[in-house]
Parts: sequence; structure tokens; C-alpha cells
Amino acid sequence: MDQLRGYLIQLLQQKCQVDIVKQHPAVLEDALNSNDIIAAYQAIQDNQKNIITAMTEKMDIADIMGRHITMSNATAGKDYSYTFDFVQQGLQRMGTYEMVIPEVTGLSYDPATRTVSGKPAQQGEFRLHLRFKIGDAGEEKPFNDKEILLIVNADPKSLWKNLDSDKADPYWKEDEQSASSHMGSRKLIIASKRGRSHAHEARFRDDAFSAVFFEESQWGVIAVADGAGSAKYSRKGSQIACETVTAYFREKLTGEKLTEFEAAIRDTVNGESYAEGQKRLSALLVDLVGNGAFLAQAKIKEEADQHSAVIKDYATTLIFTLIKQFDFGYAIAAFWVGDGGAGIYNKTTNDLTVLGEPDSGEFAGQTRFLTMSDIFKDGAYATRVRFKVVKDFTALVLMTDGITDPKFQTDANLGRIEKWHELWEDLNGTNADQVKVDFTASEAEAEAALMQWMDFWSPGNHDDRTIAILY
Amino acid sequence: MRRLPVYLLLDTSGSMRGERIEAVKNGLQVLVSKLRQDPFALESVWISIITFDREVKQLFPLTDLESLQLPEITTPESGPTNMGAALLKFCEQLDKELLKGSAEQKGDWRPLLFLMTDGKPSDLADFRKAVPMVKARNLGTIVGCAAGAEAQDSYLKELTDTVVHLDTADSSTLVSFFKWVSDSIGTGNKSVGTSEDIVLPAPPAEVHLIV
Repeated sequence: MDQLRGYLIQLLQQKCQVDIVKQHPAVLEDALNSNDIIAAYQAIQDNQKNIITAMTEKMDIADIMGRHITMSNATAGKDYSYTFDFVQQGLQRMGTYEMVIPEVTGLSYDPATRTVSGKPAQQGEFRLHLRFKIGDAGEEKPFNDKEILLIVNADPKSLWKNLDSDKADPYWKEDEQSASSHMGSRKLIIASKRGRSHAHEARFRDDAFSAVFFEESQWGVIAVADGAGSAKYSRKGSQIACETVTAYFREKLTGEKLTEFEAAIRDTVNGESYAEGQKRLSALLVDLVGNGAFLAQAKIKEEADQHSAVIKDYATTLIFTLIKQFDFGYAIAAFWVGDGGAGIYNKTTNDLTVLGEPDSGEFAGQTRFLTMSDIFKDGAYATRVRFKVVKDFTALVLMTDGITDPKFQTDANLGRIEKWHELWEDLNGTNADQVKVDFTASEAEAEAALMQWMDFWSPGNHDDRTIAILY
Repeated sequence: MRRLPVYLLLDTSGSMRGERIEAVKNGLQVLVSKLRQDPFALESVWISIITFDREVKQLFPLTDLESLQLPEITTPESGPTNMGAALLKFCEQLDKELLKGSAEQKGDWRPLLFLMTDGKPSDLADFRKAVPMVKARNLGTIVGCAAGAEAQDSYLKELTDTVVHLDTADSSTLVSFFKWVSDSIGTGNKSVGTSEDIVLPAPPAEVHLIV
């Protein structure tokens, strides 16, 4: 009654400039009891309410339609789950609603948890339809339709193509290559495989390896090299580097030179003339090993000249080791330029000797190459030569960065024995594919298993892979 | 896991309003969809977009392609083209976001920068200040793109040797530009020596390389 009274006073004041309380109090009192007036007032109230309801609904719909709703992206073949937060996403005014998901996605919606989940079968951009009504809107009201974009990424594994490299190319090389042999009492297996990133673009395998054991002197030489992805003939550069080194030692590890070298090693080891022996040995090593690497560079230069190319086109890294078993243990010398890694690993005694330092830049993929002119300037290569005598070892391993990047991640990790334990366990079958290299089986079997092991999956690491294991 | 950081600096000044910005958005969609089809990109590429008009905004920091979602891009009615400020912002964000190689950390691939404008820098003092700063960051590639008749190549030339010109800034031209960008991004992962530059693929016919 009071509301109606107030309404009438205000209405007449505003529309007719009449102060009814003063001028016609009796008329006002009558009106408050008039059924017609009461009904008309009620109708006004109802209409106002209807207008407000209709307008609010339209505004709520506009709000929801204008919201940029994003769901996290899915990946084909991987479990997916996304939970809507209606308050956060401005959907709290929604009443009745349904989530229509294209069947092809293989996803479904659970209203109880407001979660879309499942395993999307195929990649693509899909549109989900959120059909909704505002609040308690009745059945007669139509649904509003809001599209929500769902991106399903491809499984990266499915995107890699395996395209043949051009066999007609003069520098063509097999996409994969492996070898096994023995060096004295030790076995050697080597596997080298073209990386997925190379296979995807029909490029060649740029990695190379070479190994040889000289029965007469009992010295063994193992070399691995990684041609630069950006250099057009690097596959040949890496091959020349490895082959030059093995050929070089075939010639050098003979006669007087060999006698002198081995004498220096013995003198260093047996301690009596340690300092003197060591001095002689370092000089011999730097000369012997360094010249091998230098010759490899020269041979590449020669090849470049013959093909009117520049040595940069043959850019390659190079790691090689010399090894021989003596009565006091194993003497191992190494030379290393570029990335990748080499080490003497002893699982039993927990010992690790990394045979140099990887060359890395501030950005990924940056390294130094054997083919760079400054490598041999001012005797700088002397620091790249290493020598170590060990009583025993589990494995002598040489790797290109296709292996060290995924397995060691950082340069510092290359010096951590735990990482080598992990690599050894990994090779022995502790991996997602359960591929085991059985080091007790025949070399041929181990070689085949190693090649299979090389297929391991590591996101973002799809470079050529080469690993040599002497065990 | 090594990232290939890709920064896109986009002019959103008043002149870009309307059809042009729609063409850019369309081009970005194509770029992202195309990269998602490239297994290398899907696992390595991280993108950040910085827009510039009167204001400079980083729409999102470096984000991996797998979880990337393109946001709305808006343009004001009119106003200056603060390209210099955008480049300064780029340097600031790059220094924060880039992972450099060290003994304990695997470095990112050398970052790539693509800058697109349909005009010229209004803030010339900032622009001249920013150019040597950007150059000092030893990026893998800097590509300047002058889109449309009013765009001026000469300023972009101060920033980089690789300047492309699009005669028109319509949708099909921009799509072919962004397709070329995606091909260029594909070359960012080749292992290179410490000082060598990345060689970009040849641009399509609509995209003229300014020599």
C-alpha cells in the first residue's frame, strides 16, 4: 500500500506537476482502494520486471558470447583433460547448457566435473559448441551457441618423414652404418645413424666413423666425426677426417717412432723417471696426435681444392682415441675438437675420465670445427690432446652430439659419473623401448642391438647419432 | 631440449586498422598452423609477439608452439608508430627470456626476429638508439618486412640487410610472407659455426628482397 502511495505521488508530480497530497488528499486515499488502479500498478511492476529480465538476459548472453574462452591445446594420441572454471571464465550466469564436441575428436564432457577429457585420435583445429541458456530460462527459449576452438597438435613422431637421400650424389653415404670388431682382449661396436631431421629433408648423414686395430703393435684407433649441418659437403669432411686419422696411425705407429713412444709411456708409468718420462711423452703425444688431426685438416683442404670448394663447406668435428693394453693397464690418448664427447668409464670403481672438453658457444648448435684455421694456430691444439693410463675400464665411449645432447644435456653433465651410469643402464635396457645391448652376446648381436637402440626418442634431439663403444 | 626463440614485432598503428590487421591475423594463423605441421618446429619453436603503435605491448612472452594460442590483436584509430620503443622492449624481453649456453645449461638456438611495418618509425631517436642494441645481440636472423606502398624500406635497412617489401598488404600477400617466415624458421636449427649467418630460403614472388 505504501509503495503504491509513493508511486502515485511521484507519478503525478512528475507527469502532471500536481502535489496530490496537498491538493487532493481524498482522491489519493480513494485511489489506494481502487481495484483498477491497483491492477494497473501491478501490471506496470510486472512489465518492468519483464523488461529487466529480458535485458539482463540479453546482456548476459552478449557477455558470454564476447568472452575469449581458450582451452589448453591437446596432442593427438595423448591423454587430455581440461576443466572449465565457470566463474573465472565469466560463465557463471549460464543455466541450462550442453557441450557439443565433434565426435571425431574422441573427447567427451562430464558436467559433474565440468571437464573435457579423452584421448584425441587425430590432429587438427576443432570447434566445440557451448549451447547455453541464461539462468532459469524456460524450455521455450532457444539455446545460444558459442564456438570454442580446440587445437589438437599432431604427435611429433607422426610428422617426421623418412626421405631417401640422393644416391646419385658423388658424396652419397649410407643412411646408417655399423661395425664391430675386437681390439686385443676388448670388443668394439660402433653404430651411426642419420638423424630424423636429416631424413625429413632427404639430407645425408653427416656423421662418420672409422676404427682400426693393428695386430702387430696391438694399438687400436677409433674416430668419430660430425659434419656441420650448415656446410654442404660436411658428410665428406667427417668421412675424410676419420679415415685420414686411421690411415695416418697405420703408418706412424711403427718402427722407431713407436718404440720411442711406448718407452716414454712406460717411463711415465713406472715412476722412476716419471717427470722426465712425462715431459718426453707430452712432447711426443702432441706431435703424434696433433699431427694426425692436422693431416686430417690438410686432406679436407685438398679435397675442397679439387672440387673448387672452400674448406668451410666440409666443416666437421673430430674425436679420436688411441688405445693399447700394456702389462700395467691401458694407455689411452685422445684428440677432440667440436661437440660430442668421449670418456673412459669404469662402473665398478666409479671412475670417469672425460677425454677433453666440448666446444660450445652461447647458442645451441654453435661449436668449433676441425676445419677452422685457428685450431692449429700457435700450438693451440696442444690442449686438445689428452693422455690417460687406467688399470681397467668398463667402456671407452666416443659419441657425436646426436648422442650427448639427449643423454647428457649439458657440458657439465658429461663430467658426472651418475650420467654415465644412466647411459650404461640405458644401453643395458633401462629405456622406454626396452632395447638392450647385450654386452655378453656376440659382437654382431651387440652391434645390431646398438643400431636399434639408436632409434630412441628424445624431443627436439633429432641430429645424426654416432656412438662407438669399446668394452 | 633446445628452444628456437622467434620474436614477431608487428605494427598495429592506426594505418593497420581494418583489412590490414585482419590480413596479419590471418597470416599469423597460417604461420602457426604451418609450423605445427613441422616436427622440428613443433618441438623447438617458441614464439613471442610484440605489437607497437602508440603503445608497445608484448602480447605473450616466449611460448612453446604446442601450447601457443593466438590472442586478439587490436589497433587504435590513429597515432604514432613507436617502432624504436618496440625494439627496445624486444631487447629487454630477450635479455630476460633467452637461455644462454653454459656448463650447466643448454643454450637456445640463435633467436630470430621478424619485424613488420606499413610505415616508418615515429620515434626516430629511440629507433636509432635501438638499432645497435639489437645488432649487438648476435641474432640468427633479422628480417624486416615493409608491407604496402607507404612502408619505407630505408629505416629497416639500418636494422638488417634482409629487408623484404610487399607491394600490397592484402591477405594473400601476407599469407605468402608468413609461409616464407615459417620456412625461414625451419632453417634456424642447422648446426653452425660460432660466427656464421643463417642462409634464408628464397622468398616467394610476392615478396621482394630489397638489395
